[in-house]
Amino acid sequence: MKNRYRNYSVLASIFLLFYISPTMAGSLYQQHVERATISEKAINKSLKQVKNYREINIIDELSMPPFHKRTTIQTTTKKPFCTTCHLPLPHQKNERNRTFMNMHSHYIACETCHFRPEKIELDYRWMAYDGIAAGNILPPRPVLEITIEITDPIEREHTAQFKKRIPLAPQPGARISPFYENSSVPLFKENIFSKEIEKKWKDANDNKRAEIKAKLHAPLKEKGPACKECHHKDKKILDLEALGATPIQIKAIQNNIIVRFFDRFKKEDDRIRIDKLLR
Amino acid sequence: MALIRFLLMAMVIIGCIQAVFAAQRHPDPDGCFSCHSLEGLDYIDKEGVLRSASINKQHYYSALHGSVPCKDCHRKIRDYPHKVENGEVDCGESCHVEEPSEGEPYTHKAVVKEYKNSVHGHGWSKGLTGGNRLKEEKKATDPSCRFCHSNDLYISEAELPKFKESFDHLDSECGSCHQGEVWLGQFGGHILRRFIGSRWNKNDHNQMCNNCHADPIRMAKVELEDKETGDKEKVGPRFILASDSYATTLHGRLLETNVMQGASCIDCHAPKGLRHGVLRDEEKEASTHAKNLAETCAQSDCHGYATHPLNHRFVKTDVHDIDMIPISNQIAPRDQSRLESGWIKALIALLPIIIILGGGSLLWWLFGGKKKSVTFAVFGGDAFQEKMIGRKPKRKIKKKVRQETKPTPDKKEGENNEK
Repeated sequence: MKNRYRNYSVLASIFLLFYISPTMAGSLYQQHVERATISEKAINKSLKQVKNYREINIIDELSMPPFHKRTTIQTTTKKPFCTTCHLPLPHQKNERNRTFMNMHSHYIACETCHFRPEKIELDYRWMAYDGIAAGNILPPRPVLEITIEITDPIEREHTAQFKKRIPLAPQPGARISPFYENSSVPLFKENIFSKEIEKKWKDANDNKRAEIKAKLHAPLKEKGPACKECHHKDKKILDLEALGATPIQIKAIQNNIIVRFFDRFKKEDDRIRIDKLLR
Repeated sequence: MALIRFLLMAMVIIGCIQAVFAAQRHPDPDGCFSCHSLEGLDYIDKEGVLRSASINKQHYYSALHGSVPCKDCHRKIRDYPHKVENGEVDCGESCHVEEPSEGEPYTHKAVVKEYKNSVHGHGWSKGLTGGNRLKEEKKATDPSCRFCHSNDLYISEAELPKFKESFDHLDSECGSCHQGEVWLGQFGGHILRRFIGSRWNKNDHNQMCNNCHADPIRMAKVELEDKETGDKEKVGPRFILASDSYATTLHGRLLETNVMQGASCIDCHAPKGLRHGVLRDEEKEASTHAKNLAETCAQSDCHGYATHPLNHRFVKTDVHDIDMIPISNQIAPRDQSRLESGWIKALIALLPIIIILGGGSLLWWLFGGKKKSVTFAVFGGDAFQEKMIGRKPKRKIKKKVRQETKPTPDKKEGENNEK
């Protein structure tokens, strides 16, 4: 009788080990954070940043309207965990590329660029940031026409645009995100782990905060990959075809003119004449 | 040799044809939209202001400046990353778009000159960048060009169906003479747009003024400057509540109900020129100066009789009468001018009588022993009852009854004897 129970418990342990524990352990990023060992140097660097931190309150609207009509980008219901501390448009300092980086943040998860663990192969897929599918893999957009011709001559005159582009993202707000063993790497602000960190941060003093900050950033790389790591036919972090891009879109991404602009900058403070950039 | 001649001739002919069909609109010769048409080129600056380098290309081409290349306004931008100061815009500069009638570069210079001479002249017309909107909001008291004017659609969404209807007959009617895509693109829309009416109606104008003038907190901060002495004075409730008082007038109420016969703010305050020259009433050139009021009211056959000498008092009508604003208004009671109002003067004259009558009535109600069924016929009540109704007045009846029921001394004695 005892042997029978022992067998059951062994089977249950195996089940827990192989099926439940990966789910309970959280995302790969969370696992890396929990396992991270942080150096004194990293803590000191974090402490300096924590002490020098100046909160920026976002001004929603000025009474002075912007002169040019802006494009509006749909916000998502689920927010990335990173935005607990970072601004929703996190790239702020680098004058040259901040806007381009922020543009990418609308359709590429933070972890895609900043969480690139060595010796682990990640699968990059579209992930939903809205609705009940949030956190799940989204199938790529079916390959349809990439543009829609505007045939009405009045509308053509009025809009001065002859084609409407179809976005690559399968649904608004979806981002290219890393997955590990079919489980999403990015975290949302609403995750239990995220909320625990947020609570710990609120209760902590500067020293403790520096420790938390260092630990959260330990698995991350401060600089993302260079433009050419994706925008080049030979460098393939992303499988564009699997993400639903048509051959024309793949070509447009890989031979992007702006990437060629940026390739001309050699030093951090370089300013280059636009006519030379546009050659 | 013949072949070469043929080719040369062909090149000349092609060149001539190209010259005829040249000047197709190209608002982006510098390729700015290669980057700026991308969506989401945003960042949050140190002040917390959302800055956007993205421009909606579709909107831009359909907007008022749709034919103006970026560099006509952002003149000094030559390199990337752009220096902020190189992007500064001066609305008084000329741009490279040709004004069709004169063939000269188009410019807002005349408008800016008029605006600079106006009461709003301290507003910004140059040095405008996306980055100094917050600074302007905090520091500037007068509206800048961009505060009132955005790069709006040339034909608003609401007017587009009407425009399409007007545009529909182009090929059959205009198209017989005016052919070709160039004409269609450059002038067709420009001319036909005017068939659907002016771009701004009177309510749009008023709304623009009300963006500031209907905000009493903002208006309370305004200081009026004497152009000659430079002295500044605080504004009073009459100025602060100018929008409210206007709204109570017939002009305001007509426009409120979309009857366009009412006068808008600029119809009276900037009726001439380029409609940016609003001046203080005290200035002799002001359309609202006492000497010019009759002419202003008489413009466009509005109140033509106002210029007749016999109607000189017409212009005394106060179109910003603070007395029309309810006394419950938080700012209105502080106004000293209220004491000069005819209504207030009449109230002061009648106040003693009101106090006496009111106080007397109160005292009477509290302490006067009012008896039931007693008629106080002071002004002919008795005569009315006697002559018209044909009976004795109630007062006399009651008096008589009282006299009859009153025991006489003899009667009292008799009663005692019986006892």
